[in-house]
Amino acid sequence: MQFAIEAQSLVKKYGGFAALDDINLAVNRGEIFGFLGPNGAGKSTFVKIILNLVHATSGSARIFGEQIERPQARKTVGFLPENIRIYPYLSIEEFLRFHSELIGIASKKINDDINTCLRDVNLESVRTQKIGTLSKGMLQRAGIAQAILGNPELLILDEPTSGLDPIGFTELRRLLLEMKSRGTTIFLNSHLLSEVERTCDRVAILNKGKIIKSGSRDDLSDRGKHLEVVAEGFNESMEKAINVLSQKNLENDGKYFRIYLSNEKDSVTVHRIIVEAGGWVQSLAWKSESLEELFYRLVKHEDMGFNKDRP
Amino acid sequence: MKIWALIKIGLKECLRQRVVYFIFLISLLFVFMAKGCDIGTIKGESFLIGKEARQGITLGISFHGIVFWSIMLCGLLASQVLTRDMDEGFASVTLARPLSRDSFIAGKLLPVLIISALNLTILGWLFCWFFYRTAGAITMQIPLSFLFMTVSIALYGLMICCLSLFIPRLLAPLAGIVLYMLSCWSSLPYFFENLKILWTPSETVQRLHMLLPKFGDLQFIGASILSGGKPLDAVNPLFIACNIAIYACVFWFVTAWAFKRREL
Repeated sequence: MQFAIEAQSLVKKYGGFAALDDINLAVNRGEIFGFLGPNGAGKSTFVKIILNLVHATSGSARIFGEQIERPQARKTVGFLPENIRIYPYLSIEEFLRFHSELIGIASKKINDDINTCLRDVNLESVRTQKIGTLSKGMLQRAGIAQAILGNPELLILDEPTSGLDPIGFTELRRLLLEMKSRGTTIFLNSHLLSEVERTCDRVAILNKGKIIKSGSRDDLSDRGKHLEVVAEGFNESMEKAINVLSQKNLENDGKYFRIYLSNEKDSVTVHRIIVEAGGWVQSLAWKSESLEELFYRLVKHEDMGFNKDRP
Repeated sequence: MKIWALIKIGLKECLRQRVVYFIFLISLLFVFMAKGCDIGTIKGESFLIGKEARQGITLGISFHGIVFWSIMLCGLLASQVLTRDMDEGFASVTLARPLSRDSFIAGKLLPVLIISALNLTILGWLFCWFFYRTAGAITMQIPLSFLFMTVSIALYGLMICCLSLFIPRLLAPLAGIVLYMLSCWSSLPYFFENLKILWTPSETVQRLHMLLPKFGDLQFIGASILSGGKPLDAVNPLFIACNIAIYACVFWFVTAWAFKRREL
């Protein structure tokens, strides 16, 4: 199968520091792939290598089977960089026209394409405004418009929600899902875990230049469901009893605490323990580990030197 | 079409820069100087040299002045053509498109050369027009001399673009001017017969003259054409053509090589 993005043993070193260390990744056609990681994990470096803006120290990568070093590989790729910089003296329309010509869109189609993109990002009314006069959010929208020009087969977005207001978030999510339905592959590089969780089919978590976990949203967590309890009057005897029940799988956050139980029936026992120990249960619910929790857990463990033999 | 898109943007970018108009105005002063084609009204000097000689000196000063400022303009524009796009982050959005880095360099550099050549052409034609008004005749010597300088300016732009990838971009035009002046200086004894009496070029100067880009030769050929001399008697035209072609190739390939290695 030909992947939209395929990276093999990709390494990028800056002196002795490995920004990317043996990255193997395959993004399927037509999926939304989330690429997560803390600051400095190497996410943007990976994207830049894929687009041949940065050169890998070793390893190889392909876009739709084409070596990334060839300009042809980027023929059907739309890219939104983090903190996009655009010539400030151009109007939005001129900027999009410039990119249409770079992509090679037929001159007859350029106007239609520009109109569609401006409509998609709600910038029709300011199309003649100079880029230098745009707000951060509008600049980001202009960047998104250039990325989706010419209906790319692969859309690479580096922190696309940066500077967008909540309406912008929602519109971007709708746009991405619409593009996915048309067969576009979307590679989403983001810190906004809730957005990634809502839109992505598969996710990879990167930390210190290495992929520490990847897979579909359901495959990622090995913890299953947990019981989330909001209670008052948490005390030591209560903690001891719950730790025995959950085999020390208790995470206490003050008023909140999460208990990882293998048996759903044990929730009744937990309730009883809290009440008998003089506590008061406000709520008690079964939840799956969110992407944010998983991300925090994995990255934190990695930073503390755990997970030495990661999967 | 891709290069054309870059050229259009590049032209717009160049024309937005005040330095273009500022240098054009300075050069225009030299054209006005040539307008009278007369060195002035200082009597002490005017009886020492004849009218023709006076015209020649004025034309020469005007010509060299215009060329110097055109060179400055080209250098200032060429020094930031790639580096500014890289530093400001504009290049990464453009190069994420199906565009080779060679095309990017060409698309960015051509507008600089076009603007510099256009500046020289306008000044050249004004020069022609004023000469016509004074002399009552059109001479092809003026456009021909400016044509030679266009070649020099193109080579200079390429050299500055190349230098800007290795040294700070503000220093590149300065380094370029030093090289240019050095080339002119090493060419002096080959074009001025009277100078040979005073100065026999040493081996080092001869070597420099042979190895440096032939900016000086082109400039003095242009000036000689303008004054009606026979410039090609002093030098080997084939050697000059080869020197220019080799340097143009070297500057281009080094620029392309260095830019391809750059990470954006």
